[in-house]
Parts: sequence; C-alpha cells; structure tokens
Amino acid sequence: MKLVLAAAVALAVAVPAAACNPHPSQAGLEAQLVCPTCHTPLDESSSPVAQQMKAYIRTRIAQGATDCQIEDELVGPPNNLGPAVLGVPATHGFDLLAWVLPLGGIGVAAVAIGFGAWVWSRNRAEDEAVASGLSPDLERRVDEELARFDA
Amino acid sequence: MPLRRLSQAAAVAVVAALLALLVWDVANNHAGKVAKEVDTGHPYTAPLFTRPLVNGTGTFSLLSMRGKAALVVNFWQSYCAPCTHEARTLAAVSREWSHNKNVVFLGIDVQDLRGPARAFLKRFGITYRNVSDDGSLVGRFGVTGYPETFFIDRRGVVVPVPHVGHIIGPATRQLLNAGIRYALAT
Repeated sequence: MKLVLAAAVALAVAVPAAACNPHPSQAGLEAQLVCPTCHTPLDESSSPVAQQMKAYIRTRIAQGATDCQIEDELVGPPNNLGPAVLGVPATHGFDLLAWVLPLGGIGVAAVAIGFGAWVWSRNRAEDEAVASGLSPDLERRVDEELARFDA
Repeated sequence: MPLRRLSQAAAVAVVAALLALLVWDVANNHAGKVAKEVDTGHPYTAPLFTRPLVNGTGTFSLLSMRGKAALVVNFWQSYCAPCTHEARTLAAVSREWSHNKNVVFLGIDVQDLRGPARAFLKRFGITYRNVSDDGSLVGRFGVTGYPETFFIDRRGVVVPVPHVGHIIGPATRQLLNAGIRYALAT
C-alpha cells in the first residue's frame, strides 16, 4: 500500500516536470542543455557550437517555440545534434543501464529492507514466546537446579 | 540457510551479468578501429550508416553506394578553421571528378546546426552531398579531429592510401587525387 502511494506521489511530481513550457527562458534552456563538443552545460560553454545553439534558442524563443520543440529540433531534425545535447543518458542500448541500475537498486534495497524487518520482527516474537513459554514444572526444576548450584 | 545461499548466488549472478555486459560492450565497440587499421596499412570494412542530408531533403545510405562507386568521405564542421582551408580544394576536386560516375564525394558534417552548415557549403561552393552526424560516426570511424578524409572503394572497404592511410588535416589536391585513384584501383 505504501509502495503504491509512493509511486503515485512520484508520478504526480514527474508528470508536471515532463510537461512542455510554452514560454521557456533562454537561461532555463541553456542550463538544461549540454554543449556536444565540450560536454559542459551550455550556459558554461563558449565553444563555437555552443554559441550557435544559444543563437538558435534565442531565435526560436522569439518565434514562440516551446522548450520541448526547441529541444526536439536540436536533438533531431533539422539540426540532428543527437541526444547528447540533452545531458541525460539515452533510454536505449547500453546507456539504458544508467536508468535501470539505480531504479533496480532502489527496488532491491526496498525489498531487502522489508524482508529484513519481517525476519527481525518474527525472531523477536519467537524469542518472546520462548521466554514466556516455560511450564510451571520446568520453572520449578530450573529453580531447584539453580538453588543446588548456589549451594 | 538456503535463503542466504540463494541471496549469495543472486549477488554472484548480478556481478557476472554486469561483467558479461561489459565484455560484450568492449567486444562490440569498434570505436577508432577504422582509422587505426587504415593508418597501419590494413583495409577495413566501412561501418554502414544512413544519415539525413544537410543540403537537401531525405537521407543518404552508404549501402546504396556499394558496388557502384568509390567514395571520398570528408568529416568537417562549419566552425573548424582547417576545414575552411580545404573547403575550396574539395569543391574544386569534386567538380573535376564529377564526370566520372565511379567517384562520389560525401561530406559528413559533425555536430553542427543546419543554418551555419548550409551557409558554409554555400560560401565554398560545395555541391556534393553532405549528411549531418550527431557524433556517432566520428567514434565509429575513429576520427580524432577535423577535417579528416577517408577513401572507400566500391566494395565498401576503407582503403589505406599508400604512405598516407587516411588524410588527417586539410586535404590537398595531390592527396585527394592519389586517394581516389587508389580507391578506384582496388
């Protein structure tokens, strides 16, 4: 139930984040994109291709393009700079591991913690049952043995 | 206890799987192989690609040239100074060979925006086909800088031009003609 709730919260946060901004800012887009030749954020790069990209973003914003449109046009046609300019690993091929491993790790860790908690609580219950489960006869015999040991 | 063994086996399996993935990636990674092989005198099959045209619509496929023509493949960028030094020579030599249907010039424009790329082609009078590359072909051919020029024969093999391999830096008329003649002869 908690897991479902957590997934719903994650989705609620992720969906607005993925929506397109109809009025993107130059600075916002430059912070999201990466210079494909020097591999630094666009707003920190002054390489020739970075300057070309900044000029393109400026023009497209003035023309009323959304941030999604501008990103798509830089990655694919007409500019075909490739997904490297997005600054996030690709969701296919070997790069997919960059997405799968952390999420998989979180999932495995959650299962391991849950399982550990279940084992721990079960052992504790068994210990308590054992501790309080002595019969009167056994208790008397233990007392006798202890008294004889003390003597 | 079986649970403990099971988790240990799972951990070993995960590590083995990641190791296998790494080995597979290294084995299938041909980055740099073309340039290295050609520069040491060994012909190497050109990696196949299909890329969108910069000067025109549609795409260009390397496979479509197989058995038809030898290719001069030039990697360039619009903001690369040495590329501007060779651009007029490339344009002129391509015009001189334009009567020969067995020779095709192809430009590969790497990580350039379309506007500046088209302006570059117009400025230097380049009329042969140019495709845009997102950087992946650079890795597959082993290009380390711009410009670089390879020669591919009709079988689709990148040929090592004697004493040159492939052209690193601005191409000269002599080197281009030597490469074309060598690619046509193989």
